[in-house]
Amino acid sequence: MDLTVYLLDTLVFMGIFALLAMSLNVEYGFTGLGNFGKVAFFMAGAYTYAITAALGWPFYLCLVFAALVAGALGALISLPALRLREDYLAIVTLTFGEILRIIIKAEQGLAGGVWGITIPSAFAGLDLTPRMTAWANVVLVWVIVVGVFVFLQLLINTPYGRVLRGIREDDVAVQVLGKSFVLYKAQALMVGSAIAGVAGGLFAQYLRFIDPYMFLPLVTFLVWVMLILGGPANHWGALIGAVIVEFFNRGSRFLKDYLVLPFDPNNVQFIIFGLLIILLLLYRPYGLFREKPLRTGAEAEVLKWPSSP
Amino acid sequence: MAILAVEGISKSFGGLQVLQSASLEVAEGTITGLVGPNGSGKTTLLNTIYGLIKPDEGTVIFRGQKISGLAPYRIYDAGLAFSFQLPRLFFQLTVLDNLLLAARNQVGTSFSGALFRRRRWRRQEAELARKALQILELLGLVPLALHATGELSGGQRKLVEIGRALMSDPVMILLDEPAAGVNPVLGRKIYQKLRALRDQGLTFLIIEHKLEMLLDFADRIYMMDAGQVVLSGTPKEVIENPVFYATYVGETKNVTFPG
Amino acid sequence: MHRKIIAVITVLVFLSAALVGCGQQAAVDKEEEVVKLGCALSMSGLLGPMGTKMTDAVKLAVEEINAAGGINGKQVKLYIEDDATDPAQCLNAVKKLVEANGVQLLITGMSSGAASTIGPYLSERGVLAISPSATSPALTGEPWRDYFFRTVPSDEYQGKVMAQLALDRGLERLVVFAMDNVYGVSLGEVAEQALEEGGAEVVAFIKYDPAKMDYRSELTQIKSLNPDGVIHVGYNDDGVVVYQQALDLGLDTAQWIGCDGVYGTGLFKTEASATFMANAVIGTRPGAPEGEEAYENFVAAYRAEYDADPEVFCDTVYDAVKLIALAAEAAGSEDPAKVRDALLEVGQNYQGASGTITFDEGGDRIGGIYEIWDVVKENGEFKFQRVEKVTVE
Repeated sequence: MDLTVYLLDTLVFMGIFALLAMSLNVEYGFTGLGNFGKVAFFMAGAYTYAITAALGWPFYLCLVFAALVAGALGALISLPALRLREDYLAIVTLTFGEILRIIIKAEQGLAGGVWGITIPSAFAGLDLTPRMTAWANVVLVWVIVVGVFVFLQLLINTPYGRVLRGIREDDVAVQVLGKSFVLYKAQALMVGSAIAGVAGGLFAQYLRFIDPYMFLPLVTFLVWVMLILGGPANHWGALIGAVIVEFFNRGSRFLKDYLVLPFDPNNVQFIIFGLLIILLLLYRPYGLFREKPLRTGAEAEVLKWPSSP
Repeated sequence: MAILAVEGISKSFGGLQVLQSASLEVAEGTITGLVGPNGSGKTTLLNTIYGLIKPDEGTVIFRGQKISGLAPYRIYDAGLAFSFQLPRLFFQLTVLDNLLLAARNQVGTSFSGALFRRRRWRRQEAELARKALQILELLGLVPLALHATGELSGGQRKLVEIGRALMSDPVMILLDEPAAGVNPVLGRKIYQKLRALRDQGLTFLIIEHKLEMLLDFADRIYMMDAGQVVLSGTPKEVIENPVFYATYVGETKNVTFPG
Repeated sequence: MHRKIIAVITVLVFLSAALVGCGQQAAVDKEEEVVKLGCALSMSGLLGPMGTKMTDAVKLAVEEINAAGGINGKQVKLYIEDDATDPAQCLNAVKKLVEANGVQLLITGMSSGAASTIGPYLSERGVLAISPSATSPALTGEPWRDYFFRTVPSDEYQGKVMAQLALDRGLERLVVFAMDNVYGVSLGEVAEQALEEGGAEVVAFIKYDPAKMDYRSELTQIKSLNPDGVIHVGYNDDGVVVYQQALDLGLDTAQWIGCDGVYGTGLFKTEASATFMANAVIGTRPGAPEGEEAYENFVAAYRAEYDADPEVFCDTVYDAVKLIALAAEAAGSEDPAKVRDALLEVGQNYQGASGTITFDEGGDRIGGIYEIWDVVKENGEFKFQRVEKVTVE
């Protein structure tokens, strides 16, 4: 019995979901794209990592390739999807996710099909105890989380980020200001997908076995709850949202041990979730963290302007 | 010298012929008005010029270059700016952000530019902010620079629309009812500013229902009816033409006749 | 900024509360001197209904053990978790049980995917698990099998029985028609291989989606191939539709061979489905050893406790719990390594509710009894009947 290992395990999952939430944040929070196929890119990254690891590549290359393949899939889906209205985009992305899962399930030669595929841990070469492996994974995942966080801050607090926010509100209006909104949307989707791909790779090497049954649409909805809870268009929101939701996910397993309930304790988790979402929508529809105004240096000029109050 | 030449534009929407071989020319450095009863196709024509609608027939030539068939953002690059009838601002963003979005040739709006040329775009942001503030000064909106445009009144929003159109250093601006929904005093002020800009060399094509404004400020007027251009001339020529009044028969609600 | 701090603090408070709670629980357990048994099956999701009944059987077994004095003089404390039919959640549940509750003996690994996910972890941590329902042949021989047993025989056996049935009836051209999940593909492939080894020809292996509920295109494809036999691996819900549509298409001219998935009164939901089965279907299923004491006692006890009949895998999971108890008693300890060794010893010709259980060196159950069944119409009513019993070594 080693509580530390369980705690570390929790941190790893929090980190992986933080990456997924941040990736959705780029697409939905800043660009207004309703991507309901998040699990597809997560899955693509996981399976790409699995296949490249089976070829013997070192783990960092596998992760990079996972990002590239997932990003490329994001680009692929932009072609038909980006000119569509929000609800149609949601349907198309959701369907894409399911199609990918069914293809992998059916094509046994590709990646094990229904049998799933085993993956060596990134730290397989070193002889580590379970606790040390857990620590190593926590460090790996969270270093990447911090890296992505910083990267997104650098990307979004810029004139580029301003264009994304404009597109979020009104993509036609952006057109008449000289920006091709399709290009920007495609880029947002590619960046988001690539990040989801990295998350998938980390997931695959941590679990050391993946099969299609781990990538149901439920995962996508979980990520959405995380983002909406934390607050769209705020990087901290995505991160904290992921931490809190995963915490509730795991915490409810513990909670049921201490509560005397009139119903099956295994349903506690679902009930807590439902309550959470209802409370959220009632009292804090913007999420925990509000969007922060753009800081590109332009505002400073206003304050310096002689005639400003 | 016609800076904008519209030749034979036709467009039908599902059996309804909205534009029928409409043609007009806008001379450089003028304020040209476009009038006509509701449903005559004025807004559609403007939208077609700007590439938001594809015409069935006809061409649009701007500064000697054929722009019909180009995407709006390309037309923007060519120096033609466009303003919607109902202000289509980004209401969650500040007035300043709205104007900054309109600037052309920004280093920081590309993916690589934003990430790798930080110093360049930060400097450019400051320059563009100053330029935006100059425009806001002209429009009397400086105190509202950091307010979300969603908080502004209808008249103020119209001014921001015009300000946005100015940010791109256009050579010509298409305006759809710039004085609509504002009180007459403010309306005149807007037109005075437009005239000042015309004096600096800018060209305007303006859809307008407030005919007395055009009478005082326009250099030339085109009139449309049922998808066609039926009349053109100086303001004085147009209102003295019997066709003018005949076209407006029954249409007294939105139109304010001079005198 | 403030909100951020508040959120972080809230999270930390919850976390520490949970930890403190666990610590207390651990202390309590030590004082009580119990034997901890974990049960992590699917209580929700696709396999939820199945897993819930199985968990009931586990509870029944634990009650009986405790009433008889427990294990090594200590009462058994049962920890129940849900894996929501998601292999990643199964690992999460198992980790919680092992790391936070201190459980070292588990009933888990409901699906073969779940088994593959938790296997390496179990082996590394040296905690013992028995699966009552993971049937994939692919699990045999995996490196982490030293701490993973199963009381259900691998599909290797049922697949061979189905194939043998076909060969015995002189079928030479066959189509394998299976669901596209692990159970379907696995059983189908074993049957296919056995058929080919027996000299028959498998002209096609057609997979189908059990949720689709319309199989005309696949069935038309089968018809065009004109086989003399069809090996069918399905479940109840899709089975009804398959047989109904097969009757429409006149596919009862071929001999259909079914399995345990299409056994059950659910298949008689429509007259067409039942008629087709009576015309053309015979099948296999793990034999319930009726008339043998252990089985009868189990069914009676289950009925008395839950006012319902036990269903598939309730017997294997009941046996799993009883076997762990027996092994721990034999080893005189609850240390998983010792229990594991003892399990190999007591699990030899053990008379369980699911028949005679013998484990091989790799933790798999050797052979099994299989029953051949068919469907008849008696006095205007359809029912299943046993044709014969087959023992597979």
